[in-house]
Amino acid sequence: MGITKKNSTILIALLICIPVFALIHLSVGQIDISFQEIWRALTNYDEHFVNEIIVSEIRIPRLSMALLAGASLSVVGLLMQTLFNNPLAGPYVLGINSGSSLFVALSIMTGVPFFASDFGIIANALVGAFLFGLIILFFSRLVRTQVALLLIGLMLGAFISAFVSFLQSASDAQELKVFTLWALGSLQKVESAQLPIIILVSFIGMAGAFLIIKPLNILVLGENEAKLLGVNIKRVRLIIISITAILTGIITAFCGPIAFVGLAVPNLVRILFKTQQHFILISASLLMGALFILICDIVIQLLEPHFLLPINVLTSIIGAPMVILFILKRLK
Amino acid sequence: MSKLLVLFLIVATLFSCKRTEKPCCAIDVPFEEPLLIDYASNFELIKTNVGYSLEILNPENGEIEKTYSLKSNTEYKIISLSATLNGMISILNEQNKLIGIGKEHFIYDTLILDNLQKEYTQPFGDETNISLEKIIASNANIVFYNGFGDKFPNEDKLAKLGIAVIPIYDWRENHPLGKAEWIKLVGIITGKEEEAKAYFSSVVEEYDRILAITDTISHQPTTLAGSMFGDIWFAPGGDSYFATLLKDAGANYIYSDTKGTASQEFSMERILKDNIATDFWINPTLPTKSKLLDVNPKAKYLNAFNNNSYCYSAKMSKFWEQSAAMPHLVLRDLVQIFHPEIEFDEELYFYQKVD
Repeated sequence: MGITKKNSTILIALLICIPVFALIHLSVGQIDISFQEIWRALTNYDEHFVNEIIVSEIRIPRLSMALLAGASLSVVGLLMQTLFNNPLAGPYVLGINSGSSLFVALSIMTGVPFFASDFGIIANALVGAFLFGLIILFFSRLVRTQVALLLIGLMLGAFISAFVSFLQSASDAQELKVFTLWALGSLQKVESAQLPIIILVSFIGMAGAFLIIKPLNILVLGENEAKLLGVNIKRVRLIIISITAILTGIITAFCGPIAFVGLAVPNLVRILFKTQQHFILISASLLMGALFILICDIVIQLLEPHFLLPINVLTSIIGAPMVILFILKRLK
Repeated sequence: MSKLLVLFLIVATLFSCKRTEKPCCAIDVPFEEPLLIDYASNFELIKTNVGYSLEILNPENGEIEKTYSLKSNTEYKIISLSATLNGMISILNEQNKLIGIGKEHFIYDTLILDNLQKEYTQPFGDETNISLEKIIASNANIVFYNGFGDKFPNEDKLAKLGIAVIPIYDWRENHPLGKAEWIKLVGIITGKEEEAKAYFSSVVEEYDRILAITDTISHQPTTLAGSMFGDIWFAPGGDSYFATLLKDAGANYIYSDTKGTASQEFSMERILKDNIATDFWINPTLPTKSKLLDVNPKAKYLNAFNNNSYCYSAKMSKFWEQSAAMPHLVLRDLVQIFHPEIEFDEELYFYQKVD
């Protein structure tokens, strides 16, 4: 596979950083909790102790969602950048998150109890992401430049957000509240009982990404070359859109829209690793994405005594300038 | 040549137009009369030779923020984006002076709802993106808003057109009777000054009567208030009117030591740590347990949520609209909730158990 020494060192460093920062993440918060209490909550959980409830029911689900959201969204961003041969592609910029949001808004505001249930919201988030993935794929066949596709993605996002605003103005107070809360984005809404299904779905999506490493490596050469080398382009496109829908849908359903991770992290990975090997790119995006959200959430928790910051706000504050820097670097 | 003639005619017409000047306003001369406000700390009313001078005070520092001249001979057409004021207008039976409200689903009064259906009263939406032209077209001459943000959009333009835009800081009062006292302002605006004063006196009397009942209470159950919005739990500040209500109802409010009348922000970790065994949870803002769990699944670890008999929720629009003007009924409800041993003939008026 040809992993350079430098790349393997960075990958190992990332692998070491994740458990270290995970422990820091578990230990910070507004309540002082000792490592012994964290250990007890992990090994011998007792509901009679408040600190163990906080670790088991708040901090562990929050940590798990930080890792899963960062890893999933970064892998999705990488896949989309390869699919569209465009370093500025990502689930947020191309309107995939917005598609999920639209379908979740529809599900919450239709007033039909099934759609507003956990299962209904997940299903709708997946359908929305898949549908808008197909739409952006369709447009990618019509336009020739990378900028045009990004503009179409932004316009789709703007159109959807206008439509969602219209839905909000027409919905009743309670539905509006549920949707507004969802749209703020949060790593804290997930319950420990919901974690297994989220982990399972995310793992399926990420495993899917590793299964298409070979065609992804060839796709980098361009679609015509890939066709000549025997890659079934249509099938690969559909698989990428399906993986995108699964990962974006599951994370958006449980955490709300989280911006810029899928765009910024894969670009950072490409700068650091300087390779087109998708095994390395996917592994690194996965680890670095998880670490990125983990650190963002540690910062949020450290700032909590002074002000409470939604995750979506911090990822945008850090991610947007990073993307501007990437663009400037490419223009040089 | 013909073009020059047309130009000359246009210029001549423009110069021949007379500008209509506003009639010069009478200067308000304040009378040496005692202050009319007993409990409210965010507004003052001073009698003048033309009516009243209304001073809106900044809730943060008590300084005069804005002054308005309310003339007694003016027929006011009101747009009220404040649910509190709508409730007070209803109590004084002056719903027909209300030509505009915020959003329809915040309305509880049946006559205002009828007026909305007949399109006599118009919904104006949220105060942050209200239509300037719609306000002007409505012929309203006074707009009440909640003052959550810094400034009402286009306030200066509206003032030039003679439309007074008045922030209602009742929600920043630190005494429930101070919140209710804003009805005196509504009385002056609607020409029902004496009725408003009489109503307020009766509210004070009834509030004090219920307060006297709680003097005999020895046990004060602990209580939490507010709810989660996003990742943040908003709870009434220790100096807020609601904290006063909880204290007057004989409860020990967990965050009574916090400063200020504005909402306090807490993380769910802090809420769990402080309230795992708290007896009551008031104002979770959603009426059913399943909806509460939808927005805040961790609520199930709170004793007050789990224990069926201790968790209550307000009846949304009715509470928003009426509770400010009826603090005696809120107090009575809370005493009934916290102290079931005290017998009342009446049922709960605002509150219901979250089921």
